[in-house]
Amino acid sequence: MQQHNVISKSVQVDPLTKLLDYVPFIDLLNQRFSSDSDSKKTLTALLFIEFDDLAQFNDIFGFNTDDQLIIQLSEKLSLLLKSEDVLARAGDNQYIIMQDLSASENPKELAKHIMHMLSEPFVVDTNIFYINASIGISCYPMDGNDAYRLIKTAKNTMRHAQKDGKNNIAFTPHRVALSSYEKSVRIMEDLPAAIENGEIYFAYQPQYSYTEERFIGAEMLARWRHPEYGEVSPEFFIPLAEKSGMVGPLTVKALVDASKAFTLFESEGIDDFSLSVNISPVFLMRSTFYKTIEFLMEQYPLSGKNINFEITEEVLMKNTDNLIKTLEKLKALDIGIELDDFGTGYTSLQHLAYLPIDTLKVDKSFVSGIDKNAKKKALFKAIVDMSHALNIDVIVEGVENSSEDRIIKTFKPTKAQGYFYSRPIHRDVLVEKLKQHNKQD
Amino acid sequence: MKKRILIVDDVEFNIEFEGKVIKSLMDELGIDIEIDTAYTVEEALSNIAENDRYDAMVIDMNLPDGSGVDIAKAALKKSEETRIAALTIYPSKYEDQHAFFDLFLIKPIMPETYKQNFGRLLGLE
Repeated sequence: MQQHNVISKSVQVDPLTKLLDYVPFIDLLNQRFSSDSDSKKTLTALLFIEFDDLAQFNDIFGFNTDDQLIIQLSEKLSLLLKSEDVLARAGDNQYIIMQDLSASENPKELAKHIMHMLSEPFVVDTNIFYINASIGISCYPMDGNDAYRLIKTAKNTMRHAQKDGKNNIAFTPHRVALSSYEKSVRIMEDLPAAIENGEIYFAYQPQYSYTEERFIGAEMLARWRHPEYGEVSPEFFIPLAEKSGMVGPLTVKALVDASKAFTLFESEGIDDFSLSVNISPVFLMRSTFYKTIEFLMEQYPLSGKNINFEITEEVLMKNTDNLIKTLEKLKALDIGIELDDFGTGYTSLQHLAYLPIDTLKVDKSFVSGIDKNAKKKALFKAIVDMSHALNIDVIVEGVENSSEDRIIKTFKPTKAQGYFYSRPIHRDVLVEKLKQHNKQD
Repeated sequence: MKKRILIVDDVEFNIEFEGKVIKSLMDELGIDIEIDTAYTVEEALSNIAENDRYDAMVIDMNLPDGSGVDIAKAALKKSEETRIAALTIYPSKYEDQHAFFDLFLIKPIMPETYKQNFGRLLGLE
Protein backbone atom coordinates (compact mmCIF):
# COMPACT_ATOMS: atom_id res chain seq x y z
CA MET A 1 0.00 0.00 0.00
CA GLN A 2 1.25 3.45 -0.84
CA GLN A 3 2.27 5.28 2.32
CA HIS A 4 1.20 8.88 2.30
CA ASN A 5 3.01 11.75 3.87
CA VAL A 6 5.94 11.23 6.17
CA ILE A 7 4.65 9.35 9.14
CA SER A 8 7.09 8.23 11.77
CA LYS A 9 7.08 4.48 12.44
CA SER A 10 6.44 5.07 16.10
CA VAL A 11 3.15 6.79 15.31
CA GLN A 12 0.07 4.76 16.13
CA VAL A 13 -1.46 3.11 13.09
CA ASP A 14 -4.54 1.03 12.53
CA PRO A 15 -3.31 -2.60 12.71
CA LEU A 16 -5.60 -3.83 9.94
CA THR A 17 -5.05 -1.19 7.29
CA LYS A 18 -1.75 0.30 8.50
CA LEU A 19 -3.37 3.67 8.06
CA LEU A 20 -2.92 6.44 10.55
CA ASP A 21 -5.23 6.27 13.56
CA TYR A 22 -7.63 9.04 14.50
CA VAL A 23 -5.66 10.56 17.40
CA PRO A 24 -2.27 10.88 15.67
CA PHE A 25 -4.14 12.18 12.61
CA ILE A 26 -5.59 15.01 14.71
CA ASP A 27 -2.11 15.75 16.07
CA LEU A 28 -0.76 15.84 12.55
CA LEU A 29 -3.47 18.28 11.47
CA ASN A 30 -3.01 20.58 14.42
CA GLN A 31 0.73 20.55 13.87
CA ARG A 32 0.15 21.53 10.25
CA PHE A 33 -2.23 24.35 11.18
CA SER A 34 -0.20 25.68 14.10
CA SER A 35 2.93 26.03 11.99
CA ASP A 36 0.92 27.96 9.45
CA SER A 37 2.46 31.29 8.69
CA ASP A 38 1.02 31.47 5.22
CA SER A 39 -2.40 29.85 4.99
CA LYS A 40 -2.14 29.60 1.21
CA LYS A 41 0.64 27.06 1.69
CA THR A 42 -1.43 24.98 4.04
CA LEU A 43 -4.81 25.29 2.39
CA THR A 44 -6.39 21.99 3.31
CA ALA A 45 -9.55 20.02 2.71
CA LEU A 46 -10.86 17.34 5.01
CA LEU A 47 -13.03 14.65 3.50
CA PHE A 48 -15.00 12.69 6.05
CA ILE A 49 -16.17 9.41 4.54
CA GLU A 50 -18.60 6.97 6.09
CA PHE A 51 -19.23 3.61 4.46
CA ASP A 52 -21.95 1.06 5.02
CA ASP A 53 -21.48 -1.01 8.12
CA LEU A 54 -19.40 -3.76 6.54
CA ALA A 55 -19.63 -6.09 9.56
CA GLN A 56 -23.19 -6.88 8.46
CA PHE A 57 -21.72 -9.04 5.69
CA ASN A 58 -19.95 -11.37 8.15
CA ASP A 59 -23.15 -13.17 9.13
CA ILE A 60 -23.92 -14.06 5.54
CA PHE A 61 -20.53 -14.39 3.90
CA GLY A 62 -18.40 -15.50 6.78
CA PHE A 63 -16.15 -14.14 9.44
CA ASN A 64 -13.54 -11.61 8.27
CA THR A 65 -15.41 -10.56 5.15
CA ASP A 66 -15.52 -7.05 6.56
CA ASP A 67 -11.77 -7.07 7.22
CA GLN A 68 -11.11 -8.10 3.64
CA LEU A 69 -13.39 -5.36 2.36
CA ILE A 70 -11.79 -2.75 4.60
CA ILE A 71 -8.32 -3.68 3.41
CA GLN A 72 -9.39 -3.44 -0.23
CA LEU A 73 -11.21 -0.22 0.39
CA SER A 74 -8.21 1.34 2.10
CA GLU A 75 -5.94 0.33 -0.73
CA LYS A 76 -8.26 1.68 -3.38
CA LEU A 77 -8.66 4.94 -1.47
CA SER A 78 -4.89 5.30 -1.08
CA LEU A 79 -4.42 4.95 -4.81
CA LEU A 80 -6.59 8.00 -5.40
CA LEU A 81 -4.43 10.24 -3.25
CA LYS A 82 -1.33 12.27 -3.93
CA SER A 83 1.78 11.87 -1.84
CA GLU A 84 1.02 15.08 0.11
CA ASP A 85 -2.39 13.79 1.18
CA VAL A 86 -2.99 11.71 4.31
CA LEU A 87 -5.56 8.99 4.78
CA ALA A 88 -6.60 8.00 8.28
CA ARG A 89 -9.06 5.53 9.70
CA ALA A 90 -11.46 7.31 12.03
CA GLY A 91 -13.70 4.42 13.04
CA ASP A 92 -14.92 1.00 11.94
CA ASN A 93 -16.53 2.37 8.82
CA GLN A 94 -15.16 5.89 8.77
CA TYR A 95 -12.16 7.42 7.07
CA ILE A 96 -10.78 10.94 6.88
CA ILE A 97 -8.61 12.30 4.12
CA MET A 98 -6.46 15.34 4.58
CA GLN A 99 -6.06 16.78 1.12
CA ASP A 100 -3.34 19.33 0.49
CA LEU A 101 -4.96 22.07 -1.58
CA SER A 102 -1.82 24.11 -2.14
CA ALA A 103 -1.59 22.73 -5.66
CA SER A 104 -5.13 23.99 -6.37
CA GLU A 105 -6.69 20.55 -6.11
CA ASN A 106 -10.43 20.40 -5.84
CA PRO A 107 -11.75 18.23 -3.00
CA LYS A 108 -15.03 17.76 -4.83
CA GLU A 109 -13.13 16.11 -7.68
CA LEU A 110 -11.45 13.77 -5.23
CA ALA A 111 -14.84 12.96 -3.69
CA LYS A 112 -16.17 12.19 -7.18
CA HIS A 113 -13.20 9.88 -7.84
CA ILE A 114 -14.00 8.07 -4.60
CA MET A 115 -17.64 7.68 -5.59
CA HIS A 116 -16.55 6.44 -9.00
CA MET A 117 -14.20 3.95 -7.39
CA LEU A 118 -17.10 2.69 -5.28
CA SER A 119 -19.25 2.15 -8.33
CA GLU A 120 -16.98 -0.77 -9.16
CA PRO A 121 -17.71 -3.96 -7.23
CA PHE A 122 -15.48 -5.37 -4.49
CA VAL A 123 -14.71 -9.07 -4.62
CA VAL A 124 -14.02 -11.20 -1.56
CA ASP A 125 -13.60 -14.89 -2.32
CA THR A 126 -16.20 -15.36 -5.01
CA ASN A 127 -18.69 -12.89 -3.62
CA ILE A 128 -19.34 -9.49 -5.13
CA PHE A 129 -20.04 -6.46 -2.95
CA TYR A 130 -21.11 -2.92 -3.67
CA ILE A 131 -20.31 -0.43 -0.96
CA ASN A 132 -22.17 2.82 -0.34
CA ALA A 133 -20.58 5.90 1.14
CA SER A 134 -21.37 9.47 2.08
CA ILE A 135 -18.74 12.17 2.05
CA GLY A 136 -18.64 15.54 3.78
CA ILE A 137 -15.99 18.12 3.09
CA SER A 138 -14.63 21.03 5.12
CA CYS A 139 -11.76 23.36 4.32
CA TYR A 140 -9.00 25.01 6.31
CA PRO A 141 -8.85 27.89 7.11
CA MET A 142 -12.34 28.90 5.87
CA ASP A 143 -14.28 26.47 8.04
CA GLY A 144 -12.12 26.67 11.15
CA ASN A 145 -8.54 26.66 12.22
CA ASP A 146 -8.27 23.59 14.38
CA ALA A 147 -8.57 19.91 13.59
CA TYR A 148 -11.48 19.32 15.92
CA ARG A 149 -13.71 21.99 14.39
CA LEU A 150 -12.80 21.03 10.83
CA ILE A 151 -13.49 17.36 11.39
CA LYS A 152 -16.75 18.17 13.14
CA THR A 153 -17.81 20.35 10.24
CA ALA A 154 -16.90 17.72 7.68
CA LYS A 155 -18.74 15.10 9.71
CA ASN A 156 -21.86 17.27 10.06
CA THR A 157 -21.76 17.96 6.36
CA MET A 158 -21.49 14.24 5.72
CA ARG A 159 -24.62 13.72 7.86
CA HIS A 160 -26.44 16.23 5.66
CA ALA A 161 -25.31 14.25 2.63
CA GLN A 162 -26.70 11.09 4.23
CA LYS A 163 -30.06 12.75 4.77
CA ASP A 164 -30.22 13.22 1.02
CA GLY A 165 -29.59 9.52 0.50
CA LYS A 166 -26.55 7.31 0.49
CA ASN A 167 -23.77 7.70 -2.04
CA ASN A 168 -23.86 11.42 -1.71
CA ILE A 169 -21.24 14.11 -1.47
CA ALA A 170 -21.85 17.28 0.49
CA PHE A 171 -19.29 19.87 -0.23
CA THR A 172 -19.49 22.64 2.27
CA PRO A 173 -18.34 25.92 0.86
CA HIS A 174 -17.04 27.99 3.74
CA ARG A 175 -20.04 30.27 3.97
CA VAL A 176 -22.37 27.49 5.05
CA ALA A 177 -19.73 25.37 6.64
CA LEU A 178 -20.57 25.28 10.29
CA SER A 179 -23.27 23.17 11.77
CA SER A 180 -26.41 25.17 12.35
CA TYR A 181 -25.77 25.24 16.11
CA GLU A 182 -22.26 26.59 15.73
CA LYS A 183 -23.44 29.00 13.07
CA SER A 184 -26.18 30.26 15.36
CA VAL A 185 -23.65 30.92 18.11
CA ARG A 186 -21.36 32.76 15.70
CA ILE A 187 -24.21 34.78 14.24
CA MET A 188 -25.39 35.76 17.71
CA GLU A 189 -21.87 36.84 18.63
CA ASP A 190 -21.50 38.84 15.43
CA LEU A 191 -24.91 40.53 15.60
CA PRO A 192 -24.04 43.55 17.78
CA ALA A 193 -21.06 44.50 15.62
CA ALA A 194 -23.05 43.90 12.43
CA ILE A 195 -25.77 46.28 13.62
CA GLU A 196 -23.10 48.80 14.60
CA ASN A 197 -20.98 48.69 11.48
CA GLY A 198 -23.73 48.61 8.89
CA GLU A 199 -23.22 45.00 7.74
CA ILE A 200 -26.91 44.76 8.53
CA TYR A 201 -28.72 47.22 6.33
CA PHE A 202 -32.24 47.82 5.03
CA ALA A 203 -33.74 47.15 1.64
CA TYR A 204 -37.02 48.76 0.60
CA GLN A 205 -39.76 46.81 -1.17
CA PRO A 206 -42.21 49.20 -2.85
CA GLN A 207 -45.96 48.88 -2.32
CA TYR A 208 -48.30 49.75 -5.16
CA SER A 209 -51.68 51.35 -4.57
CA TYR A 210 -54.41 49.97 -6.82
CA THR A 211 -56.67 52.92 -6.07
CA GLU A 212 -54.08 55.64 -6.65
CA GLU A 213 -52.20 53.67 -9.32
CA ARG A 214 -48.81 54.62 -7.95
CA PHE A 215 -46.22 53.49 -5.41
CA ILE A 216 -47.31 54.89 -2.08
CA GLY A 217 -45.10 53.06 0.36
CA ALA A 218 -42.41 50.49 0.97
CA GLU A 219 -41.64 47.80 3.50
CA MET A 220 -38.19 47.97 5.06
CA LEU A 221 -36.48 44.59 5.16
CA ALA A 222 -33.34 43.87 7.16
CA ARG A 223 -30.51 42.33 5.16
CA TRP A 224 -27.15 41.05 6.38
CA ARG A 225 -24.09 40.70 4.21
CA HIS A 226 -21.83 38.72 6.53
CA PRO A 227 -18.13 38.86 5.60
CA GLU A 228 -17.78 35.11 6.03
CA TYR A 229 -21.20 33.60 5.35
CA GLY A 230 -22.34 36.02 2.66
CA GLU A 231 -26.03 36.90 2.72
CA VAL A 232 -27.56 35.64 5.97
CA SER A 233 -31.30 35.19 5.68
CA PRO A 234 -33.44 37.31 8.02
CA GLU A 235 -35.42 34.13 8.75
CA PHE A 236 -32.20 32.90 10.34
CA PHE A 237 -30.86 35.99 12.10
CA ILE A 238 -34.04 37.73 13.31
CA PRO A 239 -34.96 34.91 15.75
CA LEU A 240 -31.36 35.00 17.00
CA ALA A 241 -31.59 38.78 17.39
CA GLU A 242 -34.76 38.22 19.42
CA LYS A 243 -32.98 35.69 21.62
CA SER A 244 -29.94 37.87 22.21
CA GLY A 245 -31.69 41.16 22.90
CA MET A 246 -30.58 42.67 19.60
CA VAL A 247 -33.98 43.14 18.07
CA GLY A 248 -34.43 46.48 19.86
CA PRO A 249 -31.19 47.96 18.45
CA LEU A 250 -32.19 46.61 15.03
CA THR A 251 -35.52 48.44 15.20
CA VAL A 252 -33.74 51.62 16.30
CA LYS A 253 -31.48 51.33 13.25
CA ALA A 254 -34.48 50.74 11.00
CA LEU A 255 -36.24 53.87 12.22
CA VAL A 256 -33.12 56.01 11.93
CA ASP A 257 -32.68 54.62 8.41
CA ALA A 258 -36.31 55.50 7.70
CA SER A 259 -35.67 59.06 8.88
CA LYS A 260 -32.78 59.31 6.41
CA ALA A 261 -35.06 58.01 3.67
CA PHE A 262 -37.69 60.65 4.46
CA THR A 263 -35.06 63.38 4.35
CA LEU A 264 -34.01 62.07 0.95
CA PHE A 265 -37.63 61.85 -0.26
CA GLU A 266 -38.20 65.43 0.79
CA SER A 267 -35.13 66.69 -1.04
CA GLU A 268 -36.32 64.86 -4.17
CA GLY A 269 -39.85 66.23 -3.94
CA ILE A 270 -41.41 62.88 -3.05
CA ASP A 271 -44.20 63.20 -0.55
CA ASP A 272 -47.17 61.18 0.60
CA PHE A 273 -45.06 58.06 0.89
CA SER A 274 -45.04 55.75 3.89
CA LEU A 275 -42.56 53.24 5.23
CA SER A 276 -43.44 50.03 7.03
CA VAL A 277 -41.11 48.72 9.73
CA ASN A 278 -41.33 45.20 11.12
CA ILE A 279 -41.70 45.18 14.88
CA SER A 280 -40.76 42.00 16.67
CA PRO A 281 -43.23 40.83 19.31
CA VAL A 282 -40.26 40.38 21.65
CA PHE A 283 -39.42 44.08 21.44
CA LEU A 284 -43.04 45.20 21.35
CA MET A 285 -43.69 43.58 24.72
CA ARG A 286 -40.62 45.13 26.39
CA SER A 287 -41.31 47.80 28.98
CA THR A 288 -38.92 50.18 27.21
CA PHE A 289 -40.52 49.72 23.77
CA TYR A 290 -42.85 52.68 23.73
CA LYS A 291 -40.33 55.09 25.30
CA THR A 292 -37.80 54.11 22.65
CA ILE A 293 -40.24 54.75 19.83
CA GLU A 294 -41.35 58.03 21.38
CA PHE A 295 -37.70 59.11 21.66
CA LEU A 296 -37.00 58.29 18.01
CA MET A 297 -40.14 60.04 16.78
CA GLU A 298 -39.17 63.15 18.74
CA GLN A 299 -35.50 63.21 17.88
CA TYR A 300 -35.50 62.22 14.20
CA PRO A 301 -37.41 63.65 11.24
CA LEU A 302 -40.13 61.02 11.45
CA SER A 303 -43.83 61.61 11.26
CA GLY A 304 -46.25 58.98 12.50
CA LYS A 305 -48.54 59.48 9.54
CA ASN A 306 -45.80 58.16 7.25
CA ILE A 307 -44.80 55.23 9.45
CA ASN A 308 -46.47 51.86 9.74
CA PHE A 309 -45.51 49.17 12.21
CA GLU A 310 -45.94 45.63 11.00
CA ILE A 311 -46.75 43.28 13.82
CA THR A 312 -47.24 39.56 13.42
CA GLU A 313 -50.11 37.47 14.62
CA GLU A 314 -47.74 35.99 17.20
CA VAL A 315 -48.20 39.06 19.45
CA LEU A 316 -51.83 38.14 19.84
CA MET A 317 -50.72 35.12 21.84
CA LYS A 318 -49.17 37.38 24.47
CA ASN A 319 -50.75 39.72 26.96
CA THR A 320 -53.53 41.29 24.92
CA ASP A 321 -54.42 44.02 27.42
CA ASN A 322 -50.90 45.42 27.42
CA LEU A 323 -50.73 44.99 23.67
CA ILE A 324 -53.86 47.04 23.10
CA LYS A 325 -52.56 49.79 25.40
CA THR A 326 -49.26 49.91 23.52
CA LEU A 327 -50.97 49.91 20.12
CA GLU A 328 -53.31 52.70 21.23
CA LYS A 329 -50.30 54.78 22.30
CA LEU A 330 -48.68 54.18 18.90
CA LYS A 331 -51.92 55.25 17.22
CA ALA A 332 -51.80 58.44 19.28
CA LEU A 333 -48.45 59.09 17.58
CA ASP A 334 -50.28 58.59 14.27
CA ILE A 335 -48.36 55.39 13.52
CA GLY A 336 -50.29 52.94 11.36
CA ILE A 337 -50.60 49.33 12.53
CA GLU A 338 -50.41 46.51 10.01
CA LEU A 339 -51.10 42.89 10.85
CA ASP A 340 -48.49 40.92 8.93
CA ASP A 341 -48.71 37.39 7.48
CA PHE A 342 -52.46 37.45 7.96
CA GLY A 343 -54.11 34.12 7.59
CA THR A 344 -51.18 31.89 8.41
CA GLY A 345 -50.96 32.02 12.17
CA TYR A 346 -52.96 32.35 15.31
CA THR A 347 -55.38 35.10 14.48
CA SER A 348 -58.82 34.56 15.76
CA LEU A 349 -61.06 36.74 13.65
CA GLN A 350 -62.55 38.29 16.77
CA HIS A 351 -59.19 40.00 17.43
CA LEU A 352 -59.99 42.21 14.49
CA ALA A 353 -63.02 43.53 16.38
CA TYR A 354 -61.03 45.19 19.15
CA LEU A 355 -57.43 45.55 18.00
CA PRO A 356 -56.62 48.94 16.51
CA ILE A 357 -55.45 47.51 13.20
CA ASP A 358 -55.34 49.73 10.12
CA THR A 359 -54.20 47.21 7.57
CA LEU A 360 -54.13 43.47 7.02
CA LYS A 361 -51.20 42.13 5.06
CA VAL A 362 -52.54 39.05 3.39
CA ASP A 363 -49.91 36.35 3.33
CA LYS A 364 -48.45 35.37 0.00
CA SER A 365 -49.67 31.80 0.40
CA PHE A 366 -53.18 33.05 -0.42
CA VAL A 367 -51.89 34.75 -3.54
CA SER A 368 -49.53 32.20 -4.97
CA GLY A 369 -51.43 30.37 -7.70
CA ILE A 370 -54.67 32.31 -7.08
CA ASP A 371 -55.09 32.42 -10.86
CA LYS A 372 -55.37 28.63 -10.93
CA ASN A 373 -57.21 27.85 -7.73
CA ALA A 374 -60.87 28.79 -7.32
CA LYS A 375 -60.89 28.14 -3.56
CA LYS A 376 -57.94 30.46 -3.02
CA LYS A 377 -59.76 33.05 -5.05
CA ALA A 378 -62.88 32.66 -2.88
CA LEU A 379 -60.84 32.86 0.34
CA PHE A 380 -59.05 35.94 -0.85
CA LYS A 381 -62.31 37.61 -1.83
CA ALA A 382 -63.76 36.83 1.60
CA ILE A 383 -60.76 38.39 3.36
CA VAL A 384 -60.96 41.55 1.28
CA ASP A 385 -64.73 41.84 1.72
CA MET A 386 -64.41 41.32 5.46
CA SER A 387 -61.67 43.95 5.66
CA HIS A 388 -63.76 46.43 3.72
CA ALA A 389 -66.65 45.85 6.11
CA LEU A 390 -64.32 46.48 9.06
CA ASN A 391 -62.84 49.55 7.40
CA ILE A 392 -59.43 47.90 7.35
CA ASP A 393 -57.08 48.26 4.38
CA VAL A 394 -55.62 45.22 2.66
CA ILE A 395 -52.09 44.84 1.35
CA VAL A 396 -51.48 41.78 -0.74
CA GLU A 397 -48.05 40.23 -0.35
CA GLY A 398 -46.14 38.16 -2.84
CA VAL A 399 -47.75 39.25 -6.11
CA GLU A 400 -45.42 37.66 -8.60
CA ASN A 401 -47.00 37.84 -12.04
CA SER A 402 -49.54 39.68 -14.13
CA SER A 403 -51.98 36.80 -14.07
CA GLU A 404 -52.15 36.86 -10.24
CA ASP A 405 -52.22 40.65 -10.26
CA ARG A 406 -55.15 40.77 -12.70
CA ILE A 407 -57.29 38.52 -10.49
CA ILE A 408 -56.30 40.19 -7.21
CA LYS A 409 -57.18 43.62 -8.58
CA THR A 410 -60.77 42.62 -9.30
CA PHE A 411 -61.45 42.22 -5.56
CA LYS A 412 -60.20 45.76 -4.87
CA PRO A 413 -57.62 45.36 -2.13
CA THR A 414 -55.77 48.58 -1.27
CA LYS A 415 -52.16 47.83 -2.10
CA ALA A 416 -49.92 45.16 -3.52
CA GLN A 417 -46.34 44.19 -2.82
CA GLY A 418 -44.31 41.57 -4.62
CA TYR A 419 -41.78 40.85 -7.32
CA PHE A 420 -44.33 41.72 -10.01
CA TYR A 421 -44.08 45.33 -8.84
CA SER A 422 -40.56 45.34 -7.48
CA ARG A 423 -38.11 43.27 -5.51
CA PRO A 424 -36.61 44.88 -2.36
CA ILE A 425 -34.22 47.62 -3.51
CA HIS A 426 -31.71 50.07 -2.16
CA ARG A 427 -33.04 53.41 -0.89
CA ASP A 428 -31.38 55.35 -3.71
CA VAL A 429 -32.83 53.00 -6.33
CA LEU A 430 -36.25 53.42 -4.74
CA VAL A 431 -35.98 57.19 -5.08
CA GLU A 432 -35.06 56.84 -8.77
CA LYS A 433 -37.97 54.46 -9.28
CA LEU A 434 -40.41 56.85 -7.64
CA LYS A 435 -39.13 59.80 -9.65
CA GLN A 436 -39.41 57.80 -12.86
CA HIS A 437 -42.87 56.61 -11.96
CA ASN A 438 -44.08 60.09 -11.06
CA LYS A 439 -42.75 61.39 -14.36
CA GLN A 440 -44.84 58.82 -16.24
CA ASP A 441 -47.94 60.10 -14.44
CA MET B 1 -24.65 74.87 36.55
CA LYS B 2 -23.93 73.78 33.01
CA LYS B 3 -22.52 70.28 32.65
CA ARG B 4 -19.69 69.84 30.18
CA ILE B 5 -19.68 66.54 28.30
CA LEU B 6 -17.32 64.99 25.78
CA ILE B 7 -18.45 62.24 23.42
CA VAL B 8 -15.71 60.37 21.59
CA ASP B 9 -16.65 58.02 18.77
CA ASP B 10 -15.49 57.53 15.21
CA VAL B 11 -18.99 56.71 14.00
CA GLU B 12 -21.10 59.74 13.14
CA PHE B 13 -24.32 57.89 13.91
CA ASN B 14 -23.20 57.17 17.48
CA ILE B 15 -22.06 60.73 18.16
CA GLU B 16 -25.38 62.05 16.93
CA PHE B 17 -27.43 59.40 18.71
CA GLU B 18 -25.62 59.75 22.04
CA GLY B 19 -25.89 63.53 21.82
CA LYS B 20 -29.65 63.25 21.32
CA VAL B 21 -30.06 60.76 24.18
CA ILE B 22 -27.98 62.84 26.59
CA LYS B 23 -29.76 66.04 25.60
CA SER B 24 -33.15 64.39 26.01
CA LEU B 25 -32.22 63.15 29.50
CA MET B 26 -30.84 66.50 30.56
CA ASP B 27 -33.94 68.28 29.24
CA GLU B 28 -36.08 65.95 31.34
CA LEU B 29 -33.95 66.79 34.38
CA GLY B 30 -33.76 70.49 33.57
CA ILE B 31 -29.96 70.51 33.44
CA ASP B 32 -28.03 72.70 31.01
CA ILE B 33 -25.34 70.96 29.03
CA GLU B 34 -22.61 71.65 26.56
CA ILE B 35 -21.50 68.74 24.42
CA ASP B 36 -18.14 68.51 22.68
CA THR B 37 -17.39 65.73 20.25
CA ALA B 38 -14.24 64.03 19.01
CA TYR B 39 -13.78 61.36 16.35
CA THR B 40 -10.23 60.29 17.25
CA VAL B 41 -7.93 59.88 20.25
CA GLU B 42 -5.91 62.84 19.00
CA GLU B 43 -8.95 65.13 18.81
CA ALA B 44 -10.12 63.99 22.24
CA LEU B 45 -6.69 64.67 23.76
CA SER B 46 -6.65 68.20 22.37
CA ASN B 47 -10.21 68.74 23.62
CA ILE B 48 -9.05 67.76 27.10
CA ALA B 49 -5.89 69.89 26.90
CA GLU B 50 -7.57 73.00 25.54
CA ASN B 51 -10.73 73.10 27.64
CA ASP B 52 -11.81 73.24 31.26
CA ARG B 53 -12.41 69.87 32.82
CA TYR B 54 -15.35 67.84 31.57
CA ASP B 55 -18.00 66.63 33.97
CA ALA B 56 -18.50 63.45 32.01
CA MET B 57 -17.12 61.62 29.03
CA VAL B 58 -18.33 58.69 26.99
CA ILE B 59 -15.47 57.13 25.09
CA ASP B 60 -15.76 54.54 22.35
CA MET B 61 -13.05 51.97 23.01
CA ASN B 62 -12.34 51.15 19.42
CA LEU B 63 -10.96 54.27 17.79
CA PRO B 64 -8.99 54.42 14.57
CA ASP B 65 -5.85 55.96 16.10
CA GLY B 66 -5.65 54.20 19.43
CA SER B 67 -7.41 53.13 22.56
CA GLY B 68 -9.97 54.98 24.64
CA VAL B 69 -7.81 54.17 27.66
CA ASP B 70 -5.31 56.88 26.65
CA ILE B 71 -8.11 59.44 26.62
CA ALA B 72 -9.34 58.33 30.04
CA LYS B 73 -5.81 58.59 31.44
CA ALA B 74 -5.39 62.14 30.10
CA ALA B 75 -8.80 63.17 31.42
CA LEU B 76 -8.05 61.79 34.89
CA LYS B 77 -4.67 63.50 34.89
CA LYS B 78 -6.42 66.79 34.27
CA SER B 79 -9.13 66.19 36.85
CA GLU B 80 -10.01 63.18 38.89
CA GLU B 81 -13.54 64.49 39.15
CA THR B 82 -14.36 63.76 35.52
CA ARG B 83 -16.70 60.80 35.34
CA ILE B 84 -15.79 58.51 32.49
CA ALA B 85 -17.77 55.82 30.70
CA ALA B 86 -16.37 53.41 28.15
CA LEU B 87 -18.60 52.46 25.24
CA THR B 88 -17.98 49.04 23.75
CA ILE B 89 -19.61 46.00 22.21
CA TYR B 90 -17.29 43.77 24.25
CA PRO B 91 -16.98 45.00 27.86
CA SER B 92 -15.23 41.80 28.94
CA LYS B 93 -12.33 42.66 26.62
CA TYR B 94 -11.46 45.60 28.85
CA GLU B 95 -11.67 43.96 32.26
CA ASP B 96 -8.13 45.00 33.16
CA GLN B 97 -8.89 48.62 32.29
CA HIS B 98 -11.70 49.05 34.78
CA ALA B 99 -9.60 51.36 36.99
CA PHE B 100 -9.84 54.12 34.39
CA PHE B 101 -13.59 54.02 33.95
CA ASP B 102 -16.57 54.59 36.19
CA LEU B 103 -18.92 52.68 33.93
CA PHE B 104 -19.02 50.45 30.90
CA LEU B 105 -21.80 51.15 28.44
CA ILE B 106 -22.69 48.52 25.91
CA LYS B 107 -23.20 49.02 22.19
CA PRO B 108 -25.47 49.02 20.25
CA ILE B 109 -27.01 51.85 22.25
CA MET B 110 -30.60 51.71 23.40
CA PRO B 111 -31.86 55.10 24.52
CA GLU B 112 -33.59 54.11 27.75
CA THR B 113 -30.68 52.04 29.06
CA TYR B 114 -28.20 54.68 28.01
CA LYS B 115 -30.17 57.42 29.78
CA GLN B 116 -30.32 55.38 32.96
CA ASN B 117 -26.60 54.67 32.91
CA PHE B 118 -25.61 58.17 31.97
CA GLY B 119 -27.68 59.46 34.88
CA ARG B 120 -25.80 57.06 37.13
CA LEU B 121 -22.49 58.23 35.70
CA LEU B 122 -23.24 61.79 36.71
CA GLY B 123 -24.63 60.64 40.05
CA LEU B 124 -28.06 61.96 39.14
CA GLU B 125 -30.09 58.87 39.94
